[in-house]
Amino acid sequence: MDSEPSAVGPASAVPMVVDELGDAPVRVRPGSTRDQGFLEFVRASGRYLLRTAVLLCGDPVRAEELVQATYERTYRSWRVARDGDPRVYARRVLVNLRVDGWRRTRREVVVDPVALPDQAVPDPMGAVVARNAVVQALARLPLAQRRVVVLRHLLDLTETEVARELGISVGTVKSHHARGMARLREIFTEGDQR
Amino acid sequence: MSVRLHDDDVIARLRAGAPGYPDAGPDAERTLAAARRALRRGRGRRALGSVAAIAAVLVGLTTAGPIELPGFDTSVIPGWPDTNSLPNQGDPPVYPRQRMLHDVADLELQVLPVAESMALTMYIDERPAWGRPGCRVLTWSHGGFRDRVSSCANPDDPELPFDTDSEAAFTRVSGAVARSGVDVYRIEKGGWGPGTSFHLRDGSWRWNWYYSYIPDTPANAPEEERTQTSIGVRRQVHISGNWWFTVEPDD
Repeated sequence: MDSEPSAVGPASAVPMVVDELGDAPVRVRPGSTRDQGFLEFVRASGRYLLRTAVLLCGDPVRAEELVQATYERTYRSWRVARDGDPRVYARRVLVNLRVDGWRRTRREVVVDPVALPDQAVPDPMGAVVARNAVVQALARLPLAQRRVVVLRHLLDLTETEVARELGISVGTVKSHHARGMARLREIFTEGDQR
Repeated sequence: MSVRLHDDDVIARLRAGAPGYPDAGPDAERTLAAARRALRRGRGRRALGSVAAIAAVLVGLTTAGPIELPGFDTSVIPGWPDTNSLPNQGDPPVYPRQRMLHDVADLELQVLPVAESMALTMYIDERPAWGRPGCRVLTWSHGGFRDRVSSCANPDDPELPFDTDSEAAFTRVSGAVARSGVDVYRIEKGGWGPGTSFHLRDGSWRWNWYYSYIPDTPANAPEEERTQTSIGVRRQVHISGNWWFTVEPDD
C-alpha cells in the first residue's frame, strides 16, 4: 500500500540540500515528511541521475523523461526507498527502465518550453552530448552491455553490485562486460583510424 | 597501422571522455508535483472501475429526471488527494468566442466528417523536433498503425507499421486538418472524456487546449463548467451545439 500521508509543509520550509555526487549514500533526515524528504532527495540526486540517464540513452531529452519516470516510481515506493539509500534505489529503477523505448504519453514529460529553444535554434546540451565520442560509442552497444559498462566503469560499481543492480548473475555481468569491452575496442579503434 | 587497445585503455577513454554532471538537475518541486500526479493517476486507475460503476448508476437515474448531489462539486473521491494539495496555476485562458466559433465550424466542415467516415479513434502527428524524427499514430477501421522507430514505438506496442492504405488515410486526415486551418496535432475518440477531442498544437507547458465534439449535448447545457482539479482549474466552455472547448492545466 502506498498511501502514505502526503505533503504537509510548504516547499519553502525545506532546507536546500547540496548535490551529493560522490559515493556517500544519500540519507533522508529522520522525521521529515514524505514530500519534504523526497524534495531533498531530488535536489541531492538530480544531477547524478540525469548524467546516468544520458550515459545510458545518449539523448538528453530522453534522459529527462527517464529521470522523471524514475522519480515517479521512487516516490511511489518512497517508504522502501528512504529506508536505505534512496539514490541506490532510484538508480536501480533507472537502469532497469526501458531506456531505448518511447513513453506512451509525452504529455507527462516535465519540460519547460521556456527553457527549450525553438527547434531551429541549436540545443547546446544536446549538441554537446551528441558530439561526445563516449556517448556515441556507448549508444552502439546493445543495451545489456551498455548497462554493465556504464555501471561498472562510469559509476564505479563492483561486478557484484552491478549484478545486484540489474538482477542478473555475476557470470552474466562478466560476459556482457567482456563483449561490451571488445566492441568498444573496435569502435575506438575505428575512430582512431579515421 | 592499427594499435590494439587494451581494456585499460578503453576504460581510460570512457572515463576521460564521458560527459560530466549537468549544470543543474531537474526542478525538484516540479518533479515532486509530477510524481504526486503520477501516484494519483495510479490510484485513479484503480478507483476507475468503481467510479465508472457509480457514473453508470447516475446516468441511469438521470434518465428518470434530474437528481441533486449535495456537495458534489466539493467532494473528493476516496483515494484521491484534496484539491488544495498542489499549487493552483491560475485561471486558464480561453480563446475569444469568435475564434472558437470559427474553429469549430472549420473542424465540423473539414475534419469531423473525415474522422467519422474512417471510424478514427486515434490520430497523432508529432512533428520532428530535438533531433528525433516525427511520430505518427493512426487507429481507424483498418486497425492501429504507428511509425515503428524507437522514438515513436516501444517494441511491444501492438500497432503495425503504416501500410499503403493507412498512409493514404493519415494523409487524408492531415489534409483535412490543414484545410480547416486549425492547428490540430491529435484527435482521439473517447480518450479525453466523451466524444471526439481535437487537440491544439501549442508550446505551453501550463495548459492543454482541445475542442471536443460531444454528440447529444443537451440544449440547456451550461455555458461553462469549471472543475477544480488538484493542479488548477479546468474550464470547459460550451461553444455551440455539440462543440466544447476545454483548457486544463498540463500535467
